[in-house]
Amino acid sequence: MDWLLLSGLALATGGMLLARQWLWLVVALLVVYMCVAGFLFQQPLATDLALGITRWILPLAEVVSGVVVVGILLVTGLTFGRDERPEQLDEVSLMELRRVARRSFRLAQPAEWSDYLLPVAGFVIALVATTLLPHIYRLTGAAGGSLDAQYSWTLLVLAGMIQLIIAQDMLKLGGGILLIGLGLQLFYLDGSTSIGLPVLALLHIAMIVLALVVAYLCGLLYGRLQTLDLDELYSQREGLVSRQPGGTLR
Amino acid sequence: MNAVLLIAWPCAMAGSCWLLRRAAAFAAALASAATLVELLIVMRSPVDDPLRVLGLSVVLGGSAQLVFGLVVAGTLVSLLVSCALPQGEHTPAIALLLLSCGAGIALLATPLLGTVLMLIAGSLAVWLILDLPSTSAALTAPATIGTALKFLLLVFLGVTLLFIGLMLQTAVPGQRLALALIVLGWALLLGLVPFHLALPELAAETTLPALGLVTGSLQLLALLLIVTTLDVQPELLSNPLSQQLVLALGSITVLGGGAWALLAPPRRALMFILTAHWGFIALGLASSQQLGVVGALALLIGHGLSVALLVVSLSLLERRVAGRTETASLLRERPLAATGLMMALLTLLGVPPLQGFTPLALVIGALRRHPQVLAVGGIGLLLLALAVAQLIQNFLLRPQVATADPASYDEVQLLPTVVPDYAPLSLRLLLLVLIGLGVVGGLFPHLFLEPITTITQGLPFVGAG
Repeated sequence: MDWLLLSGLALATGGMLLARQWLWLVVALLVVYMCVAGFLFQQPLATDLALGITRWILPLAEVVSGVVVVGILLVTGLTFGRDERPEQLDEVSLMELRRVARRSFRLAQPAEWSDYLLPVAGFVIALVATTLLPHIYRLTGAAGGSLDAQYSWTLLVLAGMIQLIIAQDMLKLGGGILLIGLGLQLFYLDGSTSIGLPVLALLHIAMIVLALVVAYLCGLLYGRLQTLDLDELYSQREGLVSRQPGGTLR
Repeated sequence: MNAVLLIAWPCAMAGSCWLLRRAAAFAAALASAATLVELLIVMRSPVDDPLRVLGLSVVLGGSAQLVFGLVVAGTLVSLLVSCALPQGEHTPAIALLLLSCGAGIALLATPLLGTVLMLIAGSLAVWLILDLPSTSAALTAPATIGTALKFLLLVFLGVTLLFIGLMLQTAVPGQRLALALIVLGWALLLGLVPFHLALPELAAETTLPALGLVTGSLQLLALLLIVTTLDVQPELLSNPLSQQLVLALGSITVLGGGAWALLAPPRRALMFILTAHWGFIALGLASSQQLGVVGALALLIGHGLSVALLVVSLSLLERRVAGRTETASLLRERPLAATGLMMALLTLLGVPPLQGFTPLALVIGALRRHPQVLAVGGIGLLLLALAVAQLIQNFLLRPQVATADPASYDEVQLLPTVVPDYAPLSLRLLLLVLIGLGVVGGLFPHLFLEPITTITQGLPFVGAG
């Protein structure tokens, strides 16, 4: 059963890396959460004994946290992920029209195989590193962590890191952050000798706060540039006057 | 009881401030009052008196009390500034939530718990950077969004490395990988060179109260996390590898901060000077000798004071006042604010008789066993001195270019008018108090050195020296 969950986790993280549409990203993140919850249910990590709680509690907390985080990203995607309509732009300037034209041109291009080269290469690297790392360097050996758990959190952290590097829009970047956060949760459950409920609770809260921050950044970016594209953000940064009036020291 | 109050009080008041966010000045005043109460509770809390609250072991160590007290004081100054100036509508509430996170880090004294609290505090600070006044008609600039994103990524990366490092260190103590990850995590959270990328941009892109809260409160929270971690795991700094790493990062920070401060535009230069100062604090801690650690903690007081002076002075110097035409240098036109800025810079530089002198001398004294580091520190200090002189010359002493005001051509302008003052009375009083503190701290260093010496005697990572 464990290998099924591990395969599901690998497929879902791969899906997050490859997803070009925000909806697939959010669905894949939900699958990742469910796999982690299933993993916690399937393979109690000496946690339940330490906490003195029933086997259901931790997976249930993971499911609830996952639903909240995915819900936040889903609402964000629904609100800010739609295609822009130039006639609705509030600042119709020459620069804006040029930018919209550039983006429309890009959107008109069908996805090519080369577009998937980097995510696929990243995913393969993450998979290979995940398979090899526990044998080369047993990170939680002394704490008595299980090998399957180490595969899981290593994959999540590495895939999250790669997603952070290759992400081209804000939601995908947020997905990378959340993957790493989820990996840290699993690492804590797997590797810690004495597990504390406050740390677990705070980790869940931190994930929700991070999802909210990503949603806020998405909202601001879309409100300003009508897109979540990070290339657009960094190309716009130069030459724009800062929002603050005055500022003789700037 | 005090422990519960320290965590719960700012949380409850943050809720109130959030509800009152449309009345910005009132919310800021309320938050300032709440922060003052928090400061009083911190000062009156018993030290090293462990107790159990809701099944958790809670203790406030002497060093944690000192650093958290500085965090609260820094937050108070930023909030007082925000009472008089436009600030983001959520700033008071977020500042109080940061205090709540800080109280958790100080009291719970569990490194992993503190690390996660730091992540929450860092995420909240992103809101602070992006927050706009409720009445503002402007949109957040892409540059500000980019800076906030960069800041979030650096804090997140720092917390991730620190978390993994602490977990590995718990599993197998003394692993080289674990120590390296922990030191890198600390460097990212403190913004040491070369992990300082977001801070100079932050200086140029956010409001002054937010800048004060990030540099005066959040960075001190990171140091609070380091101090509480070292209280529990002193071997993290006594290990030669981590000590060498911190010394190297501190040296690079002093040198890099000084060099960049010479080349950067003014506001960024200020941030580089602050970054270089963090380098000296890191060097003092890494010396692991009582002399150095006392110097580092005393430098921290100077750092907090300088950030407060910078925020208040800049808010007065950059304020545009309708009907006021200035052509002379800022030192002549706005003498009090210019003096405040100069004092902040000279305190950071360690010029006698200001507060920064004695602590810097102590840190330099503690580094005599590391001649290479001492040499690099000396060069860094020289670069800093040049940068400070350049900043004062270009910004405070140079006559200003008079901007043509269309209204001034009106004949009405020729009539005798009352020139409005450049600063509200409350901010000028606050600045006077801060300048007084800087001078008193410099003339009577024993006032803060004696309690700090007592505190450091109980720290497990401090050796003799």
